[in-house]
Amino acid sequence: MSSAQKAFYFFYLFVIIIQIDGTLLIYVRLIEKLSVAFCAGKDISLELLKIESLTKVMKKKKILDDISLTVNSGEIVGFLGPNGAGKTTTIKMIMGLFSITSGQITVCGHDIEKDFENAMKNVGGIVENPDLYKRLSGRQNLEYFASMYDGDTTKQIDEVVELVKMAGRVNDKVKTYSLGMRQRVGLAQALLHRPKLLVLDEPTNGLDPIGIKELRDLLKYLSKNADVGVFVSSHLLSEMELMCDRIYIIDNGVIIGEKTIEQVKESEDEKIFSYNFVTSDKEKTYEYFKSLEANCEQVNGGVTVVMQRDQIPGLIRALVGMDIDIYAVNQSQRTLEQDFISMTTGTKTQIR
Amino acid sequence: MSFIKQTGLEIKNIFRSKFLLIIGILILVLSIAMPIIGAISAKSSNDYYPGGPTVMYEKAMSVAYDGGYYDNGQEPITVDGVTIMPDNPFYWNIQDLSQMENYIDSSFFEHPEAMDIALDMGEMELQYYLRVAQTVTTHEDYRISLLWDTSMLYEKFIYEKAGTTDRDILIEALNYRRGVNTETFDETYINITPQERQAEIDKIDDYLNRLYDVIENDNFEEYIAISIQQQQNQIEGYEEQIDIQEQTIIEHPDQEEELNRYIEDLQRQINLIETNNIPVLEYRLEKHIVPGEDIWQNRALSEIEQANQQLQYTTILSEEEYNKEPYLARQYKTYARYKAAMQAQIDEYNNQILVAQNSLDADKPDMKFVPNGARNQTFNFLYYSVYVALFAVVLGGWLMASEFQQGTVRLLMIRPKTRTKILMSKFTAALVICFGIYIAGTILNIITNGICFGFSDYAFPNYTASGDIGFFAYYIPKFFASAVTIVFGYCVAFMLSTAVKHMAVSISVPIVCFVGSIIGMSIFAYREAAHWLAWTPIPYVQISQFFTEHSPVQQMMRNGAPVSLGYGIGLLLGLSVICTFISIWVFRKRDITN
Repeated sequence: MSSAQKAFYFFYLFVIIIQIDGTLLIYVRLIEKLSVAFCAGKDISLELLKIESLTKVMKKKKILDDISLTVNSGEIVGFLGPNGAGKTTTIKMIMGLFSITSGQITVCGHDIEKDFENAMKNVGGIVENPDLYKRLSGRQNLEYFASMYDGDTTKQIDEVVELVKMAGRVNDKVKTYSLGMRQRVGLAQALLHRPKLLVLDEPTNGLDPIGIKELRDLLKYLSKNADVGVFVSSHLLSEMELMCDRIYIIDNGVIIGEKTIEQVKESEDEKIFSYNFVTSDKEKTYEYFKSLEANCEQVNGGVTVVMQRDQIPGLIRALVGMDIDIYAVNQSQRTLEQDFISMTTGTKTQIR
Repeated sequence: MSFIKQTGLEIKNIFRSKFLLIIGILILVLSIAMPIIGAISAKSSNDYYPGGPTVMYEKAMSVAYDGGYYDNGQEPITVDGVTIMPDNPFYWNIQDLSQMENYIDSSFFEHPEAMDIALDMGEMELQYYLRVAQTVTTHEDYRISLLWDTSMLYEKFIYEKAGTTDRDILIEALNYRRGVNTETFDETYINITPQERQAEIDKIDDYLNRLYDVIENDNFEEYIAISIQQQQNQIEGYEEQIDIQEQTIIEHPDQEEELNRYIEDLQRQINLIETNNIPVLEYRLEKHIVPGEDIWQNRALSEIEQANQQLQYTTILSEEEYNKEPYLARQYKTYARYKAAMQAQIDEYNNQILVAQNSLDADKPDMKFVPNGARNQTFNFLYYSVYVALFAVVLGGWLMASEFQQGTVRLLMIRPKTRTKILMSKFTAALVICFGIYIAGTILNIITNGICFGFSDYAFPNYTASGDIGFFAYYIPKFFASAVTIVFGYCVAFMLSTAVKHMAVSISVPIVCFVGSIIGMSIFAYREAAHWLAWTPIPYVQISQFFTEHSPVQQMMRNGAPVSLGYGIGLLLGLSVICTFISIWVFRKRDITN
């Protein structure tokens, strides 16, 4: 390798380092800017969203029955439920798209029926799909929505666009966007006016895994650093577990459970899971499990058994004592899902 | 303030839709294209003939008798050293008479001498035609109406021959050429003294000399004098008829009613000649308005003549007479309404006469006498409001329905603006666009008309019964009245757009209703007893029809239906407001389910 070539490679490496560094810097700077902006007008009210005994009747059918929930500042609250449970209905009522049959919704102390304009100044969100004006570009969409808020929000467009990483495509027509890109612009419009409360209806729909990770990080960042309250509905249970502080579970228009993530994790020991044993003697293992009257079956890889978590060590000891070699014991990744299925009627019955 | 800002934003947003932008531009371009097309077609069809009814009648008769005056590849003919072109109005007469020798046959006649006399008559007529054909070479020549009647030539001929030729031979020859009243023949031509005969000949010669003076020296004064004399002769003829009819009534009292009606009709004719035809001729002389020329004065005079003619036949029957005519009761329901409708018609004719007269007296043309003038073109372009209304329907139908269909309404409704504010800013934005296009299009049209037809026309005033009024002062109120069509169509489409949430429905339903109302009008406007229609919005949907002549609305008025412009405008605006309130009410109450 000649010295000239060496010099070239060093230079190349240098450029790459600078580039990575630069990108990071921009990102850091943006987050800083945003956090300053969010914190500047911070009006600490613990309960950003308060729903009290909310009921919705549509066409003589009770869609929501007496639900109550709260979202505090700096908190990410998940809203879980099977299809048709009333998730979107609740979110639509929070955003003023549906009228309220009875009950009350308060955003930052403003009743959304009596003081809609002041309530909505503090809310940003996406309801169902992020349907934008297809004939406009992403930026024109954002400009249009931005102009509906007091003050000059148009300057913040560039910030939010970079935040959702759409700077490269924001000037293209929306009709050329993929669902994930529309979801990103949808998120941008929700953040546009720096709301105190974010209400997101299945925001990870259509996002790629990296996008989901970015969204998760962003929401966490906003809630921790700017005290934004986030109310997010999703059916991706793993997502909920990864980002939410608290979870409400709704089924058939009724809230059937409220858990913090700590509660979920604490209770894991007592939970019954499914374990897969990969051993040197499949037959013997199976017979042993059978003799314990456990729910077990032989599968391709080994033997599957459903057991309480704290019984597993004894099981392993027993197998070792029987001179059976154990290659692996895998616990199935079903945590919240199990909870969820056991708590809801879900799709066990027909969607109402 | 924020509402205005919001509205401005909505306007920008609407025009970001390429579809609407293109339609809007097309509608605007229409206002420039229409006058240009009009100007081109006006230049290519220069066969417009502005003659009065009498001239038109003569022309029609000449076509009927002569088999048309068009050049069908005919060769020019030369008779006695005079060459006559095929487009000469007397071409066919001359050709026919010059070949008379070829087709006449002695077997046609009992007396062989009669054939010679008939040939003499033909030669006499030929010479007359040859003489006048040299000067009067087109059908548009004003003097042509005096020339078709050749009866005085024959009268002269008979007076000359009556003393020397056998009566029967003369009658036979006359019958071959043109027919004769044998009952009065002897009395008129034979049983008179030679002195009397000579006096008649002198009289005819005198007339012929005056006629040739008109033809050869273009003596307009003499033309008017002859025309007036002809009219007076006609009056004499009618009066004789009346005497005869009155005599008949005494002899046959059973036919009294029928004959009285005939007498009445004759008196009307006399009255028309006295109050219209002769004064018009005198006015022509005074202002030197030559008939047949393509000038606005002729159009004004022809309007006066037509209105006078209509007035002669528009009389208000007494209640007793009215009750005798069941069809009138069917049409008008009550006598009072009949009377009002007839009075309105009479007023309209009188108004037409006044407008024409004021215009002629001031020597400035009213708009309607300059059909290819900038004023007329601009005024007729009031129907532009219908095009803009169609655009407004598309825009109004699209506006809210597209929000619902695209689902963008959800992102729109979560802004800190009440639903009423959002709806109203969209409503106002689109309405502003419609009016913008209407006003801009009209201004472009006014300018284009000025370029195509001359700006000087705008300087002339318009005339009304009470006096003159500047064109734009006359035009602008009607311009805004026509715009009510736009508002109404827009509000209906907007309401449907908000309530039905379906673009195809909210655009097509108003258009179908609009077309339906036009069809309905063309069916019912001409029917008797369609008075109930006047209370519905149907006749008023196209307000600009009130300002165009011969429109179905005006026909309804003439039929006595209580149609009124003020009621129409009030009704449409009222309905528009109701539609808008319904839109707001529906939109405020609605759950945004999609």
